[in-house]
Amino acid sequence: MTSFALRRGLMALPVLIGVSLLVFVMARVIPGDPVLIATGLERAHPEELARAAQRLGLDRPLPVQYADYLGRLVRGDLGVSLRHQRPVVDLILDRLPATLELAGVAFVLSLGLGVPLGVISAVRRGGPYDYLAVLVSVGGMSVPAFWLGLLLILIFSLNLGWFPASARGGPLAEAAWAIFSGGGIRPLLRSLSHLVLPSIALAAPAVGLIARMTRSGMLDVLGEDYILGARSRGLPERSVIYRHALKNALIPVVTVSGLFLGRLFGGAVILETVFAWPGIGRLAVLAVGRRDYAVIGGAALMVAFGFVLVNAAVDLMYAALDPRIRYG
Amino acid sequence: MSFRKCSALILVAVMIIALVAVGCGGEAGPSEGGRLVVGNNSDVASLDPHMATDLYTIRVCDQIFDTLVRLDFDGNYVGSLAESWSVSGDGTVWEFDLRDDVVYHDGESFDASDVIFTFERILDPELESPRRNELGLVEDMRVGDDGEADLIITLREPNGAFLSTLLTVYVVPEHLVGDLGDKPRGSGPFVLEEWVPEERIVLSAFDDYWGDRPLLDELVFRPIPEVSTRVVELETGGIHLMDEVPGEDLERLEALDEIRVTSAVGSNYSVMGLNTAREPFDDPNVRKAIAYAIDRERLVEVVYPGTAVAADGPLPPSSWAYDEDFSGPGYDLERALGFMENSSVPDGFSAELLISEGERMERGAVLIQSMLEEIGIEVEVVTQEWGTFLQSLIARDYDMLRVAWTTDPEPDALMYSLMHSSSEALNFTGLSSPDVDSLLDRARAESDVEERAALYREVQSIAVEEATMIYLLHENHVAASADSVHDFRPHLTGAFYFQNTLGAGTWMEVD
Repeated sequence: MTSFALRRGLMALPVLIGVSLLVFVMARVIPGDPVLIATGLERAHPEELARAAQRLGLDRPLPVQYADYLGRLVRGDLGVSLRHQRPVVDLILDRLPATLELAGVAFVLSLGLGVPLGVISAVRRGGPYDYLAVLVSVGGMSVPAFWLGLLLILIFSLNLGWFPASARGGPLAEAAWAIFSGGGIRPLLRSLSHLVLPSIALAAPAVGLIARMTRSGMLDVLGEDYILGARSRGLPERSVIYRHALKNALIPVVTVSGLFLGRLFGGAVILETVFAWPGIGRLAVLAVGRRDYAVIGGAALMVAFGFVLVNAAVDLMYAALDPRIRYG
Repeated sequence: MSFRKCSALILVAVMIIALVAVGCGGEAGPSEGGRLVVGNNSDVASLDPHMATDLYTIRVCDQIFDTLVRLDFDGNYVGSLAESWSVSGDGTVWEFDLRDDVVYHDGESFDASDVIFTFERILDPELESPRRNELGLVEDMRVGDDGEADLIITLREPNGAFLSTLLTVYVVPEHLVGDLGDKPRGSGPFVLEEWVPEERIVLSAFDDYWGDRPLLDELVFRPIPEVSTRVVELETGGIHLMDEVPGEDLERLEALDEIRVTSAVGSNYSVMGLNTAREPFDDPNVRKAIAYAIDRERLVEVVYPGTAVAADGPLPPSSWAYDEDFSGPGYDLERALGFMENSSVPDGFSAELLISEGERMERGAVLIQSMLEEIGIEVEVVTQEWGTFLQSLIARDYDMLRVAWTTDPEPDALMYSLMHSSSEALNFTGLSSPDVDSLLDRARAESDVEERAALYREVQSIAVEEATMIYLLHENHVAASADSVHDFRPHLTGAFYFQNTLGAGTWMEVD
């Protein structure tokens, strides 16, 4: 197990280096002068721009710049943001909890809704529940997240007034802790009310996909001989479905949802802007517009790192779900 | 019950009735208290005011820090930390008398040496402040001796636009400079209480502000990048104030009882620039044909209803040099066709119109496309993302482009770098007129306002005649606020002022 974890760790290294190179080159290939954008046209002075480019090392050949960047990266230095005048590591750490919280809640939501939806769909195959579930899942997958986000805001904030339109209602973990430390339930309700709309918008495509995967997985498994065997031994249908079928049907779902957890970070990039959610996504979007290279690189590496981590976790989970899989 | 007791009771009853009557009587006047939440487009980049460049950061710096002079709502310079000032006959020596009742948020007093420290900090190459260039014109500054003004600044050469430079020189004393990173403090009307990145900036009224204490107890800036979300937050009470209201929401918001829409003519102009380094825009006839073919009124009506005014020239109505009697080339298709006929390309031509991303830019471009088609110019619209667009502009890699120029209302800031032939990078249309050059130089060196206004008006008429830039419109600053917010006005620079030193102080109805 340990050696497997080590191997996965080593495999992640080339991925991260590749991402850093790709993002480094792509960010600099798009035309645009970070200093000019920051200063604004009205205050720009050509000599100043040239001097700033020199100071930032932007006048050197790209390979030299990259080598320099990689050198600092190895020492854990992601550079300093041009716009914020602060180390990128600090900026990311400030915003990471908000992004993790949103992605985490959306993940729980997508499993919590997607799996039951898929099971119902498979068990009641061809019935009205199945069609409804298919409709919900296909809809969730095909609607663009930002559009769904705006739609949810219009319906549930503006028209119905049920949930706040934007912002974070305080850290969820802190709010949950408040219940035990005498702060009452209000902070938790407040935190959750702010989470509802963005997490639904973020989870929608995952709900759809997970429901589809669960449905097809269940249908496959339900046709297997051992299910027939279980039924013929007179096991209750409930037990057949949940203990025998679902567990095996979930293996592909784990793979997909693992990958999706990574994609939730990506989806959060756009939705954080729509919902004014104080996470890494907003930092990244602004940084691209500003050509704040250090921040673009840092945010991309952070997301890539998350991806790698989740994938490794998924591989480990196979073993728990399927006794035939062992890691040596 | 004794008579005494009875009369006392009657007296109390009368007093209560009187109180209730007063309480119910008509509109309540300005009162202290309340928490005003502003929806800002983005979070501040940092709270070091000497590094601030974008409007949304400057907007917050304006609350915490103070400057020597400010602009009132009509665009006039009014004293802030400076009580009065004068300039020597040759326009090089500026003398300032400073307020002696100013204290910082930590209780320390303000004096002239703080201004000098601020200038030195900005001029220090180590800091790399974006304001360093502007202050390069300062040769010497010193604290005045007895019998002299408090602060004496000597410029390398006369500059009538010097006060405009001071508008963004936020005074930070030496003993507070170390705090700029964590807890910036200045002498502005509000004190920073809390900054949660990307969530909120909370400010509270500064009781010892040199002007009247702000009527608002608390002021909160919430960054909300998506404009539709900002509008919903305003409608649902999550914020009380926002600006840059989108045109498509304007009519709906204006119709709502609980929302108030206010606007101010901005200090800007939006142009279509023609690249004179490329054919056929080197031909004045082609440029004039375009100038007469554009129907500015229609452009405003269709794309900027209620949010802009058609332009005659570069000077916006908010500028002190604005000339009411001046009229630019109006829409005149006959004349436009006449100029085309006499041009090097009588049969028309095709060209690209470069714009930056944005819904209004795109709609405006389509309209311009159809207007120019009338005189035989086939326009292909090319849209670029902002950073890329700026690069193309600086590199002069375009045929025609649309861009807006926004500064404070100082005509030097509005015109010099776009029109002077020495300004290579920013004179992106390649306007090269010895008359314009000499007028701009003379106006810069002049300190008499009337004289300067006359010179800039002359520049305006030559610039319009040269038609390297087609002046299209001046955009307004449009703000929308909850009806509980009173006496808020958008400022011509887009800044937000809530204290009463520039106009009426903003206040809120508190339940």
